[in-house]
Amino acid sequence: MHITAIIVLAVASQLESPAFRLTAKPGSQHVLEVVNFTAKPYQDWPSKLKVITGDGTPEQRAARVPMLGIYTYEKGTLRFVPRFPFSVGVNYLAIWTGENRREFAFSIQKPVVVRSRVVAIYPSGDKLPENMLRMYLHFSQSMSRGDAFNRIRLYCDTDKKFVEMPFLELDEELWSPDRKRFTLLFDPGRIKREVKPREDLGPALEAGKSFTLIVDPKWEDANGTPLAEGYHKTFAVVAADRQAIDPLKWKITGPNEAGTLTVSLGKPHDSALLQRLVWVEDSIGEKCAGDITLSSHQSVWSFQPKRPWLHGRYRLVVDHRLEDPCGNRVHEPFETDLTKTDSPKPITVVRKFTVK
Amino acid sequence: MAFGPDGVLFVGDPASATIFAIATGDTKPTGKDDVKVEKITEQIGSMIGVPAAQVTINDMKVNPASGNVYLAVTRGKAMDAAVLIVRLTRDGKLAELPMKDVVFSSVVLLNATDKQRMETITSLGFASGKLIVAGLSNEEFASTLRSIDYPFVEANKGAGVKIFHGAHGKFETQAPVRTFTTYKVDGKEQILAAYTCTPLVTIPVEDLKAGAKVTGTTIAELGNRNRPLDIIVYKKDGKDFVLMANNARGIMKISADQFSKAESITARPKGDTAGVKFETVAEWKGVLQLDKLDEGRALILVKADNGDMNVKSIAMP
Repeated sequence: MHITAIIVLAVASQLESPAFRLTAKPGSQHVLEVVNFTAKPYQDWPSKLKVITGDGTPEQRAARVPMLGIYTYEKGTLRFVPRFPFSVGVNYLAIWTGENRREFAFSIQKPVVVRSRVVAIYPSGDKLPENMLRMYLHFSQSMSRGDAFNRIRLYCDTDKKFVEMPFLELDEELWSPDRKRFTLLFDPGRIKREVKPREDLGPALEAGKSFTLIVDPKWEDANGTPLAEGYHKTFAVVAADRQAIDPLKWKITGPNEAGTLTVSLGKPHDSALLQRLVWVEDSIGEKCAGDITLSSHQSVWSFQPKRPWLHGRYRLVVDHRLEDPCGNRVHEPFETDLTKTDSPKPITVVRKFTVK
Repeated sequence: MAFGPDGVLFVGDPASATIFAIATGDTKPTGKDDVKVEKITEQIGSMIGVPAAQVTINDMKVNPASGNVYLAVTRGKAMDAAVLIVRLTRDGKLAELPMKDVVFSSVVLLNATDKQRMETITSLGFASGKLIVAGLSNEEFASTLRSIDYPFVEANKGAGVKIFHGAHGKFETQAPVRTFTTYKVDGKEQILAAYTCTPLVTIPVEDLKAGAKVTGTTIAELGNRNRPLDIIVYKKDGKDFVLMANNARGIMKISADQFSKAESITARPKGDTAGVKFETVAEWKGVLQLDKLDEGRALILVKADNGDMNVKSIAMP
C-alpha cells in the first residue's frame, strides 16, 4: 500500500540565505537541497552541510556522527542524498556552515492512518486444554517486531495474579512474512512432562482455572503507531489433550448441493496447519484448487473447489505433520511414551471418497 | 551470523529463506586491544539516520581471522526496514560493510516458506566443513536443523535433521534448538545445543545427516526461567569451559571437562540444576549478545540500566 507522506518544513523562507528544501521525485526517496548561498563550490561539501538526527539534548547532538550520504553540486544547488532514506516520523537537523551558520529542522510526518488491531486469536474456543502449546494472534496490519513479550500477558482470573513467564520468549519472534500473524508458544519446558521447568514451576495453564490473555494497546505497528485498542481473550482450562490426531476417525460428508465437502475432525486442530497440510486430490493425483473454511472453533474443515466436482474418486490427504494446538500430530502425540511399543508410525494418511 | 574459515561470513535471511556466504576479505589480524564502544546504537543510528531506539542489533560475531567485530543491524521497524552489516574494527571505528561488488554465494533452504509458514533462523555454526543451521517454524513445532556442505553444493540444501529430546528415557518430544555452538569432545566435533525446553545437549556433528532422526545426549537440565542466548567455549588454565549467556540468570560458566564423562540424564534430576556443575557469573548483567574475542576474552553487548547499549571485551571468568 503506498502511503503518501506529508512533509513538514520548518520556517525557512525563500528570502533567506541559504534556503533549504526537501524534494522527492515520484517513486524516489527524499533529497535535501540547499540553494541561494554564496559560498563557492567546495570539494569538501560535508564540512559545510551536516545532516544529523535531531532528537536528544544539544550535547548529544553536538557529539553525533553525521549521516552517511552523497553530496552533489549543480548550478547553485547542493544536494544531499542520504545513504538510507529519511525515515518517516524521525526528526532531522541540517546544519549549514558555509558563509554563515544556519540550521534547518525537518521531518517527514506520518500521515493519519487507520490503527492496527487484533482481529482474531486462535484457537478461538473458550475451553482450552492445559497442555496448549501454541496460539496465533492475527492483526489487521503489519506489526513491529522486538516488543512482543512486553505486550502480551497471561492473567489467572481464578488466582487473581499474572502468570510468570508462561511463554517461550524468543528474541527473533515468530511472525508470518507479512507480519500480521504472531505465533505465541507456551514454554514447552513447562508442558513437557519430566522436564525441569515443569518440575520447578508447574504448568502455566491449570485445568479447572480461568485465564485471560491480555494484549497491550501500546504494541506498535510497523509504522510506529500503537494499536487502536487492547484485546482480551478469557478462557477456561480443561484437562490436557494427549491424543494423537487420527484422520481415520474423521467424518467426511458431502459434497453437498452447494459443492462443499465437510470434514468433522472431532476436536480443534491448528488453524494454520489446516490450511496447508490437508488437501483434496482427484483420481489422477492432482491437487484440487479451492477454498478452505474452518468452523466450530477449528474442529470442522470444509472445502469448496474452484472447479465443480466430477463424478468419481477423490482422496482427502492429510500430511503427518498436521498438529492440534497442543502439538499432537498424526499418529504421534506431542509426547511419545517410549515405554509403549505399539505406537503407530506417523505417516501421510489418505481417506478415499467418491462423488456420485 | 557465523564465521567460517578465511573471513567467510555466513548470514541467514529468514525472509528469503536464504543463507549467504560473504567473502569479507578481512583476513589479517588487526591488533589485540580491548574493545570498548559505548552507546553503539546511538553511533550506528547517527550514521544511518535514525534514533538509537530504531537500531536493532540482531547478532554480533567476532571474525576469528582478524579480530574485527561484525554486527547484523536492522534500521527501523517498518516492513521494508533496511538490513545492514556494520563492521567495528579494533581501532574503534564503525563502518558499513559494503555489499556492492562483494563476492558471495548463497543457498536457499528447502521447504522453508510456504504461504504463511516461515522459518526463523535461531543459530548458525560452522564445523567439519559444514554450515549448521538451526531454525524454528512459525507453525509446526519441530526442530529444523540442517547440515549444509560448504562450499555450497546445488544438490545439498540441507534437508532437515529431526532432533528429539528424550526426557529420562520415558517421553520423546520434538526439540527445536534455541542456540548452539560447536565443540570438540575427545577429538570428535559436537554441537552443544540448548533446546527451547532448556536441556543442554551434545550431538555429534557426523550424526547430522539429512533425514536422520537424532536424540541429543542431555548433559544438563537448566533450571526454570532460562532464556539461553549464546554459548561459547574457551580454554583457561589448560581446561575447557563453556560460557552461556542466559537472559534471566546472567552468564553461566560450566566446566567442560565433565562432558566426556557425563552420563546422559535419565533419572529425575534433584536440586536446582542437575548434570554438569554451574557457576553463575552475576556481575555480567544485561548481556544481549556474547561471542569469543580470543582465548582470554569474551566480547559482550550489554544494555545498561540507563538504556545505553555498550560493546566491551571482558576477561573470561
